[in-house]
Amino acid sequence: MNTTYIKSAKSLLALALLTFIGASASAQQLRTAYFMQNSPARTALNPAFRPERGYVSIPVLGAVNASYTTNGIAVDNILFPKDGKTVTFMDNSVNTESFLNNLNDNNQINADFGTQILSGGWYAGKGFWTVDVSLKGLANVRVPKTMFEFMKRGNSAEGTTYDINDISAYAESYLETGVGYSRPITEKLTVGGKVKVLLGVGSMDANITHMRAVMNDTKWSVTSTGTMSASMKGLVPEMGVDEQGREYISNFDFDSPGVSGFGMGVDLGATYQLTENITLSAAVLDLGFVSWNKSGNTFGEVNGTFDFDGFDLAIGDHVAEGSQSMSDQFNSMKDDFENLFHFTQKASEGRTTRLRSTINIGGEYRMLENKLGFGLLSSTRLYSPKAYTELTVSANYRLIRWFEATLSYSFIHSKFKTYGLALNFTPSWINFFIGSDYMFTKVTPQFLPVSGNATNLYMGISVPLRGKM
Amino acid sequence: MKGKILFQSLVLCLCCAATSCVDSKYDLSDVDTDDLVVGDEWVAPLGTGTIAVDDVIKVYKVPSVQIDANGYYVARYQGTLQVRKNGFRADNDYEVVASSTISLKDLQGLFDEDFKLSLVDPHLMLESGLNSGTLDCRLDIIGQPASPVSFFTFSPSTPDIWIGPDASSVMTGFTFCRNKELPDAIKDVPENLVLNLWGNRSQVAQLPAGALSDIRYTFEAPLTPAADFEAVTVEHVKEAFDDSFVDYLFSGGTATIYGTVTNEMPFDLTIEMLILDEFGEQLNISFPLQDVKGASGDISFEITAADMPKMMNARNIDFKLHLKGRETAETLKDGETISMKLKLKKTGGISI
Repeated sequence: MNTTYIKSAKSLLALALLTFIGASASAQQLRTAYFMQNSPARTALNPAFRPERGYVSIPVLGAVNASYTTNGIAVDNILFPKDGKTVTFMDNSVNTESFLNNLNDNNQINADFGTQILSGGWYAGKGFWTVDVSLKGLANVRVPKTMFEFMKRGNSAEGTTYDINDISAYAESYLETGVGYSRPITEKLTVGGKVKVLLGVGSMDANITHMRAVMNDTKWSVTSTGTMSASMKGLVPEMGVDEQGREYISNFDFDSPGVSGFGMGVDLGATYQLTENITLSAAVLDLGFVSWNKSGNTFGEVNGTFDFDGFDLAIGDHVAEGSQSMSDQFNSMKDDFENLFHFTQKASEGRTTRLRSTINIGGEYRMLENKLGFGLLSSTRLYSPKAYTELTVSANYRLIRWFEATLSYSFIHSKFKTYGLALNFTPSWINFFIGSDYMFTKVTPQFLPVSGNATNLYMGISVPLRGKM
Repeated sequence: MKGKILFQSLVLCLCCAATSCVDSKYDLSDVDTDDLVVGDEWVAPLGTGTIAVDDVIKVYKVPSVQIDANGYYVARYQGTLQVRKNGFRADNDYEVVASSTISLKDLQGLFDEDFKLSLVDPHLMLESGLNSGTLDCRLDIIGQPASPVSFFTFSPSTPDIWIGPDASSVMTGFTFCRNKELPDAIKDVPENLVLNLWGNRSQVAQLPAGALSDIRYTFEAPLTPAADFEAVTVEHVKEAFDDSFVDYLFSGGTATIYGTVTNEMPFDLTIEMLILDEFGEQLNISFPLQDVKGASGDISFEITAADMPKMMNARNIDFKLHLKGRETAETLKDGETISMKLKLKKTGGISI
């Protein structure tokens, strides 16, 4: 078996870095850390949470995170080993039905990344203040199963119709500057909130809303409709002209980037100590929007048609004048097909996108003088168009004040193939945090889970300040 | 204590790492895309081609073939049998009074390959202009494979004679002289058709001077194929296969070119498909012959998996049409076509 084992924690860190660079791993929150009392990272999960001590993060490394999640599709649903090689599902050796049986009706892949460029938190009286500047980004791609059926099955002489809805790709990045504050209202209730000013870096949303292919042995007819929105300062569409003389967006030129939009957001949270041992909590994160500047917006739409009822076969010596060669006809046919995906530019106008919000609801039971805790967390991130929900149970071990470890299991996406682990070290002079909700088990050389459908990694380094007054 | 905790944590991390493994069988940076295909099976319209009648019969090579008022093709040769006062040949009863040679050489270009020009109703029209006297005649028509003979009489009441197998086509004013063997005189498409007109010796001598001048003849062969008509014509589809087209379709699996042939022409067809490379050489792929009897029929040519590699050199198609006459004959008409509506069935996907 051609397998290489990761042999050191250094590899693990390298893995984390690579995963981040690849923007293909872990979420903007680490659910495993939700119940870790000493971790500054938990303030990002619920603004009512207050770490034991204040902190100032190491620039850029304060909290680095990346995530990769899907709604079921995994790498080994798409790639297959074959005679010592790696082939895709479109390889002729891949059985169509067994491939399709492993797909959902809609297949979505989400990727998030984020890094705190600067952040800090401190106690002032009963309140706990946080400020941070972060760069965040996300991307998701959604492909319906019918698209894969089209690609794998083909058609029959009697006629086959494919209705392919909502092929979409979305990407967004923005700079977030936030000020948070939490405060106990009563002995049992603590509330917190965070106000965020957002500076848009870029946003792109492309959607083929409907593609219909009707194919039989006398005619192939395909239609497509869709929209595209792109917002980024300095992004200039390059226009091409199809063979029918219509202009379409053939490429983008990128020049003089800058702030492309402004927005606002809030995080809201609360904790409630139900009993001496039980604490309940809830938070809504990233309620907000980004309004993108009109000048940097590009809109497009596609209303494509492709009809093919065969070539004109030039048989015999008396070919009609003006007849195209087969080669020319074939090239024309390919051009016609590409027209299905040619977006024509529409008038520019303002555009506002909402943030992908997250709802966290949790409860923790503490025992053994708070050395051991068990937590249950429901977390739903509202990706478009499908939300991503996870239910995580965790065991939190606080042996000593400066070290904390949590082991977790996420029911919906772990599929008994992985688990979560987070470690938080807070010696007197530094706080180091690392964790993942979906520990790597079998991964590709690019550190994507082979058969799992989620992975993430979260790490951060900060300098602890003094604790509560 | 701290050192112990850090050590334990390190051990924990290593244990976690040990449960992880990198499986290079799923290396995204080394994905093999050589055998990518779209779809298991595709069926698509391939194209429509029309073969015009003047491609099937090369009328542009045969000036004698004309289109009559009704649009029918007919080969027509006209000339004069020059009457000689003294016959140059004679036997006991007859002497040759006139002769002529009709050159049928252009007819040999009617089709690409050897053919049997079996027509239903070739006929010879003689216009003597005889206004007095009577002359019993014998006409030797020397052709291939047969050289039929006709007997008739020129007289003022029957100055014009129609020699042929079919009385129904005789024009007004002509006297019909049946000769069922006349079609056989041109079946082998002789270069020449020789006409020797013999007259009764005693009657020739008694004819008034000037009563029989030159005899005009018209030999007409309407292109009405008889049942034993056979010919072959080859229709080329040049550059039928583009380079990328070949890569898409013939990299693997099987392909079947099939469809419907609609035939307006009065022949039954047997269609042979030949695949040629860019130099015009056959690719050594043999397909079963496809018969199309009557006005339409289905054809199918399957390129098997074993033959697919040969198709990588495919560039041109020759359709070799074996034409055969029908029991119920009709005359070839201007504007008639043979059209092919072809489709393609591809198994094993389309390579991309």
